[in-house]
Amino acid sequence: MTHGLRAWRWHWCWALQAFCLLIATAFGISPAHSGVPAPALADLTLEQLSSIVVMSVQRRDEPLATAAASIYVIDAEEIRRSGARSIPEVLRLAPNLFVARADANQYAISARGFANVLANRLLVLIDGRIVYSPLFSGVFWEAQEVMLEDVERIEVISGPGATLWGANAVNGVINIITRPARDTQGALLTAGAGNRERGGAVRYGGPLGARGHYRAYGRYLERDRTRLADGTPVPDASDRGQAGFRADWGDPNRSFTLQGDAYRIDIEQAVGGSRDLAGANLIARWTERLTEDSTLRVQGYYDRVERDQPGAIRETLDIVDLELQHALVPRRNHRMVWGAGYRLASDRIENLAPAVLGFIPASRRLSWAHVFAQNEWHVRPDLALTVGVKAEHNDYTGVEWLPSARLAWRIANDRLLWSGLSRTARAPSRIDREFFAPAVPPHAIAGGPDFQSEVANIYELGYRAQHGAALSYSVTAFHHDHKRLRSLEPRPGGAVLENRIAGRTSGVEAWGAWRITPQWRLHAGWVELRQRLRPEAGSLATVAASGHGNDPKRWVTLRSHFEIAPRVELDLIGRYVGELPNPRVPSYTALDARLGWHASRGLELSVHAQNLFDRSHPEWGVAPNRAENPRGVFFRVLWRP
Amino acid sequence: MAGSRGRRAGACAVALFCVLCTLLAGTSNAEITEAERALERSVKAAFIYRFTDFITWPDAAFPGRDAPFVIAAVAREPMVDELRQVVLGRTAAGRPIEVRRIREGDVPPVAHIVFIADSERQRLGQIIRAAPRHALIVTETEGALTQGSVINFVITEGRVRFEVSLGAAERRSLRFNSRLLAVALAVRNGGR
Repeated sequence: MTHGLRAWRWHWCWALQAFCLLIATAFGISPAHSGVPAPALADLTLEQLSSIVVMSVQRRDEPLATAAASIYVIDAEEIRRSGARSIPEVLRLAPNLFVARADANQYAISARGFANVLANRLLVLIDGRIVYSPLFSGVFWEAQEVMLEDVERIEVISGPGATLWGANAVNGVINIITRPARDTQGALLTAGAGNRERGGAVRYGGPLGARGHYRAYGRYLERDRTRLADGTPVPDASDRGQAGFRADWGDPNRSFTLQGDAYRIDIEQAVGGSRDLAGANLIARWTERLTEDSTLRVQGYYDRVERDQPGAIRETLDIVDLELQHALVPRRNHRMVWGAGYRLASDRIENLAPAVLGFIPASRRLSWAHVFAQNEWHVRPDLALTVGVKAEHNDYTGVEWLPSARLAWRIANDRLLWSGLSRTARAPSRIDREFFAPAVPPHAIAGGPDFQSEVANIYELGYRAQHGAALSYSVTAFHHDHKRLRSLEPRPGGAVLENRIAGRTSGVEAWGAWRITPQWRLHAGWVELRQRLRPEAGSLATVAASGHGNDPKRWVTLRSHFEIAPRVELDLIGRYVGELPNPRVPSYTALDARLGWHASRGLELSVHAQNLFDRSHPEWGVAPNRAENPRGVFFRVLWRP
Repeated sequence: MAGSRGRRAGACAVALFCVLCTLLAGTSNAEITEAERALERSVKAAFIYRFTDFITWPDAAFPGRDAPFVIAAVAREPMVDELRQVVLGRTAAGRPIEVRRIREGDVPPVAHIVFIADSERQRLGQIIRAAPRHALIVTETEGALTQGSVINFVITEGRVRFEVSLGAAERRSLRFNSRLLAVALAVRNGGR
């Protein structure tokens, strides 16, 4: 297609000219901030006044986070400045996450190793709703969407989140939190187009009765095909639509939230033309402040996922989840959280291609129940010991015990040293026990009738510091001892999944932020990862065939956020990812850039370019039939009338 | 490879551009800070005016039917100016609004809102105790609620929010509309 190269050059020229024009105009604009005239402000509602930003990120004095964990928080400002339009692209901002794009819609995302498109060691939640699939304990990233403009923050914890979050939070937790309805009042419209994607979103929020607020949104995005290294288009185009709402009532002492979403996604694929995904969910949450020191939270949700994948399966998954959490101060200097929960899943599968693969039994019910308690004891004002345990029951292996202990030493007001010891378990999912290929005998893979939970003992040591308001950084060293990892054991009647691989993963995660001038901020991240896995004596399995991670030895990120003029922003986001061993993917360096202009109050124009230096580069998959991450540009308008 | 040379040149160009921008960036640190402080004052003044729509003062607070609504500000000139600008041509509780600046030792006999700036934090408790019985005390100092303030401004995530002490409000016979409580960052019931 001649369309490709010529159109690309045209896009480049356009971008460059627009850029120069912006610079010229920006310097002509008076740099002094004039305060908005007081009469206009006094006509705003209380909610609107509450949402005016009076202090830029640069000026805020962030207190040193005291969490004894390797946690990176992506805040709303970072999301906006990154130009990212999907959750996986936003997650690239977290230095402790490895993100690899497999094709237009699929991603391999993990922390601390075990990367896989079907990675199964991360717990991912959106507003308290768990979004992983019990099919394989992992996330279908292609099906997860959220109104990014209304996200308050994303907490990315690398390492075990077991006590608070449970089994499957083995390598990390990603917690996506959206703003309460009160903070998203009024209208928001955004639309954009580029050489790879086009779409838009609209949101409107208003009051609800005397003490409530609501918002409703809709968004649409279509993506073009990616290409192989030789330029052949890959059939992975997609279009997606999602709508949802959120309503909050009450005050900080007693509040109730109801929220829900529904979506429909169409993704092109080689077999059968396309796969169709659809789903809906409804969450209800009640928070009550019982006394000054005690808060109770009850949450329940229903989640329905439909997946029609020709050549594989047609699935209808219904999940009901109920949870209770109580935070209290049992004695002086102690803070305790305890809770219980129950989750029920009805997974109905139709094996569409039994000659290739299938689940036996096709449909089944699964349930999980858990109870946990965690206590944080301030032994001294500067020393906190947190001990917790969770007992989780699953239908495959019964009860798993997940204990953890953490010590946090606040050396000074701006320095923290912490260490952690945990035991985690990844409980079996359907793919570990009930996956057959083909679904009719003779089987090449014959399920895993005796598959047990994969366990790990994890040791961590971390240091976090802040130097004035300008420099902050965090370093974590970790060592994971794995036992009973999944292994594919060849057998006469078909290979079965057992737990005969063991090994270790160790490494260091480091990141920092440096405000060089009030207009210029730098963020850097560096992760070193070393993994050694080995089948036990007597096992005939191989590590690669058992689906274990294809992880790089290191990945580095460097971001520069710059204010060229008071209303013009230039953001440069670069990354280096090391080579993936097997299947081999060469190491690469990529640079994305974004130029944003606050044209007037409430109107923001921006242009975002991805992969500035390369026409395309692969991030995942087996050469030569792997989709490459292409160079792209996207022009966007964001308007808050 | 031609590709990597091109890439290096590209990287150099971007780096050079960044350096140029740093040199050319006009606005200084001080100017932005001052501009942000002005916006913060404007937003707080607007809040103080808006509070009057959601709070009911007892009749005893007004000496007469035509008595004005008085806002007493224990603050520096910029904030007092901001308050004066906000109330121009507006009314509160159906009455015209007067803004008075309070200096050292000048306790107002009649006031319906007393705003105490952070610069006066040393005298906070003293001013609150001397304030009129039914005055709404508005502050912007951390921990002011425990000293008897009714509404305390808090900057969180770069935005101006406020916390409310219902106990202090009740002792002053002030009635709060629940809409105000819904927008508050925190509502405290007890307290002295």
